[in-house]
Amino acid sequence: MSESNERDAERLDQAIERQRAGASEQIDAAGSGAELAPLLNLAAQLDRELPPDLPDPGFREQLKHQLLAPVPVNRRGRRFFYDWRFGVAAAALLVVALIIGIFGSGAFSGDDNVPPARETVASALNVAGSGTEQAGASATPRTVEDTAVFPPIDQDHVVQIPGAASTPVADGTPESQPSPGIVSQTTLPTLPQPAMTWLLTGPDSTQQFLETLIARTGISGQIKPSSTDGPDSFVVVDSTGFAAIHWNQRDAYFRYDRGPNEPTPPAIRATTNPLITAKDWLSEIGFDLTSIKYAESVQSSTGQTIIRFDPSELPATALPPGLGVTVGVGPNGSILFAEGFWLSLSEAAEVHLRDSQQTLAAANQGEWFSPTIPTSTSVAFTVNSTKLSYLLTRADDSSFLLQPVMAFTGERWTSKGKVPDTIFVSTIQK
Amino acid sequence: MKMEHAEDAGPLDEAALVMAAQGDLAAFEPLYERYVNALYRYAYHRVGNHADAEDVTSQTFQQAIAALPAYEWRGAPFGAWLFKIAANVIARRARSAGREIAVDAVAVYAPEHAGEDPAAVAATSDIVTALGQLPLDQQRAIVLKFSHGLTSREIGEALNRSEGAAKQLIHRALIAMRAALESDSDE
Repeated sequence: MSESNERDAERLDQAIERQRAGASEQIDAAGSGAELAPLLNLAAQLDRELPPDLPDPGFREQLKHQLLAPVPVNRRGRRFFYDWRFGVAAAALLVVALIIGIFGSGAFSGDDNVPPARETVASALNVAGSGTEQAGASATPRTVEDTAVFPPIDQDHVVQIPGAASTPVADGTPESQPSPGIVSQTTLPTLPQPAMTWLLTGPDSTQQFLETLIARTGISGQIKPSSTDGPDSFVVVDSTGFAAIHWNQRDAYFRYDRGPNEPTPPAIRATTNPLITAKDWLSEIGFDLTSIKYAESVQSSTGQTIIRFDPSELPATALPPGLGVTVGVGPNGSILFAEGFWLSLSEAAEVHLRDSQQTLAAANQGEWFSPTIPTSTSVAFTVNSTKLSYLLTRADDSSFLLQPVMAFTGERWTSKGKVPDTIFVSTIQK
Repeated sequence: MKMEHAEDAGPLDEAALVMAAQGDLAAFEPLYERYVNALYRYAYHRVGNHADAEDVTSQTFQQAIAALPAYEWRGAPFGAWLFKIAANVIARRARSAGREIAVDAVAVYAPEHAGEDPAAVAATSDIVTALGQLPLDQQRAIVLKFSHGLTSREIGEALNRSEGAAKQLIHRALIAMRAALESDSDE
């Protein structure tokens, strides 16, 4: 949209507000105001005549989709958290609910068609599944019975962004090491029952994703495999040889960098607010800002403003960089860089946890994970504190589970002395 | 296109729609389209705000669909059944909120513009028709601006856009509506 149209839109908005406040709007018949006059008249007519109780068309469409969509399947053709016991229970609940609906007494006597004013019918519907309820918004999340869907907590499945975690270094004097084992010197906590878990999805196809991103960012570049960003990684190289986009399909992680030769964006944005600029840009390139709710934090420094979008309704992940995305905005509204996970929220569910003693026992049987040392290493580890945390784990090519883990923090013996460290153990009841 | 009236369909037509929906949920769409506005407006006038009206509308349709297999056609409009469910939903919400409200007999099934000036009704009908021809995001912007009374900043937040983008959306929508209304008046 041109600057002229932006000015007209601004003028029209101001005129509408003045008109609503009772001012008699004078239109400049010689200028573009003449074109605004009929629009202002229409606005006045809408103010007078549009019923004040119309539903938001977006709500109408969304509700229709929720009600009428077939039972959704994820991109692998199945419901992720579904198993047959859940189906049988849901069907039984639905039958009971319908029997109540048929034979129960409604609030309005004389019409036994009307379902009773009880939550069971709606609950049964939710459980039996239009299945389109928004993850996190479902009143009664389903419980995951088939815990085999949870990826193991290990090097192959825990999402780790290279360079994000640092390896602890021993700075003490060598000590005689105790026998290998994980020993707790703290009272183990009682874990919640059940705990929440979330299914997140990234883009299915690298080619399609990057082509869309290239088009929306306006870069003219070529997609090439990356030799430095790990397996299933790609870069988009612009005409000057600059790698403007890095994409790791395996981790659904992207980074955009503004090239040194890229001209200043020709489009002057409608706002000088860097936060809004960042949100607009993310929307423009297709980043999902709706299925996951984000809280923004803004940090300004010379020459740029850095905006961090962190999920506000999901737990923080124990490993950096955490879910979410960071955007750097320049003083002229240009996007300097952006980096983060490209994920949408698909489902939320509950899962039963084993207790913390069982978790510690599992750790001592080798069922632990450290981002800094291989699990095959025999460790002597003293636990000083424990915490229920969350890790992002790879379920398959484009699905991820944010699953609860126990974080054991303490000291690990090395040949050069003790180092502070944290190991993670799955808490999922097998 | 006429302004939506729940009673446009004859009873036999509606009975066929209900039967179809009982066999295939996708066939519920015409019934949804027929009643969603009227149901929402009923809810809005009972609960007094848009957020609660959306909740009531959602719950009503969810319960109706859950109970649809057991629904028996008895000659009364399908909408009467929906409004009774809505009244139950509203009554239950009121009780759970710790306050009792009188649940009057549901008599909201009157034509929306009964007793109004036909010319005024026609003008409103034209506007709503023109509104319905806009792209969804423009429809939303117009409804939020002129029906819900939101500011452009609030509309931007609701649509996940900047305030400037919301203003441009409204500007474009008004231009398109004006063109549609002028085109209608020329015909």
